Amino acid sequence: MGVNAKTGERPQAAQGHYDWGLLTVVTLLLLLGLVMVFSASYPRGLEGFDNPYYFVARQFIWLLVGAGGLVVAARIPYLLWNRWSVPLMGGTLLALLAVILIGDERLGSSRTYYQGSIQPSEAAKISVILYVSAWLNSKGARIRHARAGLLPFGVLMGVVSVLIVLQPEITVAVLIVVTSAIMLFVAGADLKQLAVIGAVATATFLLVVQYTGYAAERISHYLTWMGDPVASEEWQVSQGVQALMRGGLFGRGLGNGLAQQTGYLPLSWSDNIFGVIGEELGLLGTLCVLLLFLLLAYRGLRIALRAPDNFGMLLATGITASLLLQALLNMAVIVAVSPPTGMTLPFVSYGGSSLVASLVGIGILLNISRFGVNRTLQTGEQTGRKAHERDDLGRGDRRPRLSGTGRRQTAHSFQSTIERFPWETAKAEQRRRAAAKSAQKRK
Amino acid sequence: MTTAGVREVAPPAAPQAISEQHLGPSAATQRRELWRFWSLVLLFGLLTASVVFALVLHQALRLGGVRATAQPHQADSARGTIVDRNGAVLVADQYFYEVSVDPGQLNQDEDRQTVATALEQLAGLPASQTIDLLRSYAERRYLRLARAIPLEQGERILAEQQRLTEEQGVHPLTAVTLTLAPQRYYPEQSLAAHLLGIVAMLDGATWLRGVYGVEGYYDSFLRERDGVRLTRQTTQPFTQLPTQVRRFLPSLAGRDLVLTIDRGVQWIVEEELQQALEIYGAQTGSILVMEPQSGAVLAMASAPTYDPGAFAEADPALLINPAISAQYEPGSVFKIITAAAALDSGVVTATQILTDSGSIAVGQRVILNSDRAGYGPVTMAEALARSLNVITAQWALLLGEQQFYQYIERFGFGKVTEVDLAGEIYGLVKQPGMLNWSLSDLGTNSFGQGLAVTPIQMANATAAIANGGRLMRPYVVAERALDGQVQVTEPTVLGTAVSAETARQMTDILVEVVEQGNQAARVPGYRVAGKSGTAQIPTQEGYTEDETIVTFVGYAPADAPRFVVLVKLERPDPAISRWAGRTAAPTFSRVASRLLRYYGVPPDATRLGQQPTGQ
Repeated sequence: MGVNAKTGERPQAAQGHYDWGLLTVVTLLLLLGLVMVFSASYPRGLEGFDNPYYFVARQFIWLLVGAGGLVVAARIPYLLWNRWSVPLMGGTLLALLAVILIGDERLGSSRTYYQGSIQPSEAAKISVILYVSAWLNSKGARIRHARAGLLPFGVLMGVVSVLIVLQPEITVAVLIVVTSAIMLFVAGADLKQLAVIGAVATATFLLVVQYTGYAAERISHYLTWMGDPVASEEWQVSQGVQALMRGGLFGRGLGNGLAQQTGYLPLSWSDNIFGVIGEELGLLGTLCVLLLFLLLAYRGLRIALRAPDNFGMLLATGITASLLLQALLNMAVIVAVSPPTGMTLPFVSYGGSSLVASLVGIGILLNISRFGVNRTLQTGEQTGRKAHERDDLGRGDRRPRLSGTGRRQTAHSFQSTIERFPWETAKAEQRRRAAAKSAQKRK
Repeated sequence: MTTAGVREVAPPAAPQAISEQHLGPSAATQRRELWRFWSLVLLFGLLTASVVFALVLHQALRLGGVRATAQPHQADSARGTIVDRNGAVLVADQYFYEVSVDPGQLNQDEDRQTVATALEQLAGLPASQTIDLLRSYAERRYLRLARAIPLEQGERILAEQQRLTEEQGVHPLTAVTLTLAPQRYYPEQSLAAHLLGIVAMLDGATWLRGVYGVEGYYDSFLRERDGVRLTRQTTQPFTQLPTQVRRFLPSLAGRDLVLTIDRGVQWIVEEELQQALEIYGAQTGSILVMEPQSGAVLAMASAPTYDPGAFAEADPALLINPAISAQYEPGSVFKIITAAAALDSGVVTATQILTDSGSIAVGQRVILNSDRAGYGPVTMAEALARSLNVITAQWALLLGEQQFYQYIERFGFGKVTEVDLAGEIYGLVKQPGMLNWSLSDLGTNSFGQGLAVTPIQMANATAAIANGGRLMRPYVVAERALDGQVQVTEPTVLGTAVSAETARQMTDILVEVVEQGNQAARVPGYRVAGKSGTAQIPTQEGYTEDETIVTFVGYAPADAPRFVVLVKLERPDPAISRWAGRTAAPTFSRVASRLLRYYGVPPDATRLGQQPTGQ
């Protein structure tokens, strides 16, 4: 059993093809990022580190690390994340907590600097998406009930947000909450509940902003100079817009920007790299970058829609939404549509942990894309059913492998996928042996 | 059987049952799912549209683009080195780091604390002060925490930043910016301070400029292109530069000046000047040493002086170089000019006898000798040795106003000498035809009253006599080195003041003056030419009695002048002496004898004995 069904199933349900379109878009963004990071950082590198390649060399190394992460993530069957999501989430919460506690200790202590730490908030972005996907998936249709959906979601978001706001990275918290809310929405949450969540989140956000001096100041500056950002007292805002203006339609050419020179745009190689792109490549360049991100979003949502199961769909949606939101928010800051947030431009901005996290996210998306079924928006109902019909027919006789009521609901869609990764369970191991035997027989 | 997709609830039952049971809701879910995705697309679309709108607004329409300029924090650029004629460094750049920070990036007290602690440990900046600054200027985008910290401390901060960037990516300390900040370093402290000038940030300026002296005159030459930032590796040879280095090294800027100044001469002159101020109780003074043949300035000292490395603490009035920027009535030294003019024009000869009756009327004014006496028949040399005003006025009358003022102009008075120092002034010579000129001025001008000169004008005019009558343009920069190419300053003849014969005769006369009149100026073993002058200081109420400005100008050796020295002392203590002959003249003697020794000029007897055919 199994073998024939499996081999018969694979070509149709899981093409085995990665989404090369997505990979192409990401590669283009990465290449552009390397070029722009160099252009935007060489004055600072020369000045601060004797080395014009200082930043771009590090970015390249991180890119290699991220590419490794992408390859590994693309090879890990994404359903494994469902299992790992709880320990991952727990680890992330611990890491966030640890940073806060250590942070308290390091006040006034010099050894702080010498203890390196990764940025747990970057990891938090992805592990929250994984966890929320798994959690929403386990709830299924029950998320429409307040006790099953609204309350736990609220508690989870509250805990994560508090920890991240204490980092303090308000905008990362906002990004995580908005991404999770989008996932909740896509998962089929009741609109009234979403409205409640939105209201509570907004109120909390306003309170936090009020409490945090700098955020309130930034927002008040933003409101003051919304119509005339060049005159803004926020140096970064004024410089960002000026860089864009200097760029004009076609830009001043690579390496010719003023923005990266000391005294102009701060953090030109990381948070504000979009300003450098705008100055050196002009409107043409900025629109191209925007287009690349839209293509990325298109591929991402396509993967979500073609995902063979609910978990994959939610995961793909979350990753895509998170990346696109980051990109759009980053651009919105430079064009002075939004107050400064400290968000990086995914794949393009300098920054190790952000780059690796984003690439791991893309790896997960690519893995989901491998199992994509031909379910388009037009024929979603039909094709969607077809895929699972096959699953059900193929494995109707098999007992659900996952224990516990919460998990069992998704057993069907799970099995269909787990089946393709025979190393997944002990039973799968047996099946693998059986398959090997049958293969021998065939020979 | 069909089951709708991905999220049907599956109770532990047979698959068929599940499908049937949840067919309806699942199908509905599917439809809703699509709707939800479209909503998502709409949300992202709106965000995208707003970004595109703003992009087009800024980049295509460029509203307000006129103002789209930034005034960056101006970097201080490297500046050339200034060395003396033998390559001894007088001014060089020394490098420090300026520590600045973007307080906006440190809006958490915790971050401020982190940065302040790190800066205290790495660079010794008081943490509490840093925190206060960061809090007070939280809304600024640029805040200078320290103007200049030593290179090694800065390197420590940079290394720490590098390490933190590698380990943690973003860290509060990366909000700190270190900028190489050159500062002028003066290995000889205040030596030749007035001549060198200072480098300062003028009001409202964003970068350092040379002010006064060589720094001021050659500011644009010495300065590297503005805004070109210094990079770190290029300063490495300079980290150990300071004190030991006495040899010329091309500077980072690659644009250096070699002065005509001789550090040894300058040192002698400054020492003698200081001593003279103490001995004679004078308030201020200047000594100028020039090479008559070329016009090269060998030394230029004024006291009281200041430390150019700490000019901010000095009285601003001290920064002005009195040798070129202060005018005064020269008094009797000016008789040299009148005598030379009279001799050169031929109205009198060197041996001609004139009679000093003790007074002479010129225009509306009766001129008396300084001692109110009359000396009867005197030669030119005697008249100068006794410094007789009456005889000098006679020469001027013989010359006539037109010729007299022509000669004054030929000697370079009433106009700048064109010395390459910033801040030179014209002096003041009233000419016939000017409203305030009257014939009596001819008389008083002849012995140095009623006109104002600068020390360098007086020294240069005397140098013309020492140089066979040719007036040279005085200069202090001998060579300009620019990117490995050296441009040597050629001496410039401004004109001929008097004939060579007149100059020779004047030299003999001035030697006689020293021998007979200003005996305190003699230098044993050498013939020295010169003349003293004691000028009363004009005030609102007329000339002062006790307060004088004393000058002695002379050159040695008289037959082949090695240098012209002008000594000027202001307000010597009348209790000691208010006369130049007892103050400026002995100072000249001391300076000249030391310089002759310094240059190794053999005494006249040896020298002229060896060259019997010579003069």
